Amino acid sequence: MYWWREIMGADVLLGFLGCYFLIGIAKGVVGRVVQRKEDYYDDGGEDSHE
Amino acid sequence: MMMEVKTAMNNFQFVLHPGFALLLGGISAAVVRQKLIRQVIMVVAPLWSIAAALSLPAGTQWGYPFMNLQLVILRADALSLLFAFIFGVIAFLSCLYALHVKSSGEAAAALLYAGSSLSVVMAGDWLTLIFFWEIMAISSVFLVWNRKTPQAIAAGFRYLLIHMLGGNLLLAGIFLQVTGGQLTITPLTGMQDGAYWLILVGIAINAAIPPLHAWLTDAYPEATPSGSVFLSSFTTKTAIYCLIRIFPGTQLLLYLGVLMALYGVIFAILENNIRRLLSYHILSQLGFMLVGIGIGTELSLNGAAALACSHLIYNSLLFMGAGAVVYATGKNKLTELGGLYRSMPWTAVFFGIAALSISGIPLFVGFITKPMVITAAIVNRLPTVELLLTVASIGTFLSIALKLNYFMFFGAERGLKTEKIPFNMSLAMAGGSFLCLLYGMVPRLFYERLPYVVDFQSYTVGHVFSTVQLMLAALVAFWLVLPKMATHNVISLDTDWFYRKPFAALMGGLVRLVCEIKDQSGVYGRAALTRVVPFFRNPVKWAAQTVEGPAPDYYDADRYRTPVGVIVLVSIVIFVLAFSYVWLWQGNFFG
Repeated sequence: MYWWREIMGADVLLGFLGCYFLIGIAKGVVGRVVQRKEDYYDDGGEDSHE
Repeated sequence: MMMEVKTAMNNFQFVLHPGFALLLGGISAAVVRQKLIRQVIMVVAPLWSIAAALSLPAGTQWGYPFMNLQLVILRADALSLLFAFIFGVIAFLSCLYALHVKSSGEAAAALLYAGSSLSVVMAGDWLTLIFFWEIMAISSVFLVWNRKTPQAIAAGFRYLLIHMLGGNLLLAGIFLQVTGGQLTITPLTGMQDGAYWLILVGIAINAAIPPLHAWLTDAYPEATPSGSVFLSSFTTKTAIYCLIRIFPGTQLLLYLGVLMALYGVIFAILENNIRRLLSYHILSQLGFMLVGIGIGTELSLNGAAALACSHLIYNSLLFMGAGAVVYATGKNKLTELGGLYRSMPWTAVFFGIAALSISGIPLFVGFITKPMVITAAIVNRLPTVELLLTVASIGTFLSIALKLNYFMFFGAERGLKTEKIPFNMSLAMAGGSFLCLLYGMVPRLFYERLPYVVDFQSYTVGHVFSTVQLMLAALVAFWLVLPKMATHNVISLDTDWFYRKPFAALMGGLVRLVCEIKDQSGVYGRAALTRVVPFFRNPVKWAAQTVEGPAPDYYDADRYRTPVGVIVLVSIVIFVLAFSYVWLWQGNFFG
C-alpha cells in the first residue's frame, strides 16, 4: 500500500481524475497531432460498405 | 516435466494433435464443394481439437525426425495445454459465428489460421515454430482480403508485408539459434545476443508492441465481420504465449507494456470506427499481459497467461458483437450508428457482457484475471506501474463499456435499417457470454488450468469495493463530459503513417527516378542516334571511291555494284583451279 492508497476515497478520486486525465490527453494533445480528414490516405476514405 | 522423446510419431497419432485437427479441417474445407459438409467440418474440427487438447497428458512429447534433426512437434505442459484448450474453444465459437459464410476460401483460411497458431503453441522446437508461424501469417491475410473492398486489399498487403518482415527476423534469429546447436525452445531472458534481439523483435511484431503495432489497427477493421473475430484472437495471443515461454522476466517488456496499455486506451478514446476502437483495446490489453511477462514472477506469469486466455473469450465476443453490427447495418462508424438496442437487443446484451468483462467488473471473467497482473505489480513494489495500469483499466471501461455501448446501442436514434443477423451468429455470442459469466462466477474452473499453482483471491472485499468505486467515478465523469465523448468524422494517424506516407513517398520517388532515367535515356539516346545516323547512311562513302563523281548521301546498290564481268572472271578462275586440282593431282577424273 502506498501513500495515495491511504487517502479517503482514493479510488473514487482516481476513477474521476483518471477519466479526465485520459480524455484530456487524448482530445487535447494526441488528437490535435494525429487527427486528419477521412480521405487523408487517398484510399476512398474510411467509409467502405459492402 | 521432461519425459523421454518418442523417436517417431505412431502412424495416426497426428490426429490427436490439437493443431493438426484444425489444419486437416481447413484443408478439407477448401476442397469440399457442398456447404453443408463444410459446415459440419467447421463444427467438428474445433471440437476434435478441444478433445485432443483435453486428452493429452502434461509431459507428452512427440518427436519427428527431419533430415538429421529431431524435431519436437508437440510438447504438452500446463502452459501449452491451457492455450491449446482456450484456442480450441475460441476456434469453435468463431467457426460457429462464421457458419453462414458462403465463401469456402474464408472457412479454409480461418481453420488453417487457427490450426497453425495452435501448432505454434504446441511446438517444442524452433523449426516447427517458424514453420507454423509463417502459415499463420499467410492464411490470415485471406481473412482481410476476402472483404474485397479496395481498402481491405491495400490493408491486407500492408499486413502481409509487415508479417513477412517479422517472420524473416524471427527466422534469422532461429537460424542463429539452431546453428548454435539449440533446437529446443528455451527461455532466452537475459541473453542479449543477436538471436535474442532478432527473435524478440520478430515476436514483438506479432505481439503488436508499439511502434510495431500499426498493422493490427490498420488491418483488423478492414477484415470481413467473421474474419476479424478470428484475427483478433490468434496472432497476438500466440505471440504472448511465445513471450511467456521465451522471454519471462524481460524488464523491457514491462515498460513497453505500461506504454502500450495507455497508448491503446488513448487512441481508443479518439476512434470513430468501431472495430478499430476495439483493435486499440487489444493493444491496451496486450500491454497488461506484457507487464505480467516483464515482472516475471509466478503470480505475474500466471496473470499474463490468465489475462491472455480471458481476453480471448471477451475480445472475440466484442468483435462478434461489432461484426454483427457491421453485418446488420453495413456501417462502421460511431457517427453513423446509434439506437440499435431496439433492433438488435440480444446483440446489445451480449456486447454489454463482453464490455463489462473487459472492464474487469465483478462477476465477469475480466475481474478474475486483470487484478492478478495489477497485484503482481503491487507485490513487486512497482507503485507507478500499478497506478498507470489502473488508469488504463479506467480507460477501458470508459471507452468500451460506456462510450462504445452508448453511441452504438443507445445515443442518437438514426433510424437505421438493420438486416436480421443469422441465428448461428447469435448462438456463438451466447456461448461467449456464457463463458464470460461462468469463469467470472466460478474462478476455480479457470485457475486450475493455469501453469503455476494459484495463490490469489480475486473476490476480496477490498478488490470488489475498489473496482466498484473506480467504475462508478468513471461513470459519473463520463456523464459529465458526454458531449465531448462523441466522435467526429476524422481518422487518427498512427505509426503506419511512416510507411503509408514518407516511406511510400520514398518508394514512389525511387520508382519515379528509375522511370525518369529510363525515359530520359530513351529521349537522349534517340536524339543521339538521330544525329549519328546520317553519317552511316552510306558507309561506303568513307572508303576509296571506285566510281567517278561525289559520293551520294544514301547508299546506292547500283552505283557500287560489282560489274558482272568481274564475277564471271572470278567464277572461271575458281573453276579452272578446282578442275586442274582434281585432274592433275587426283589422277583419272572419270575413274
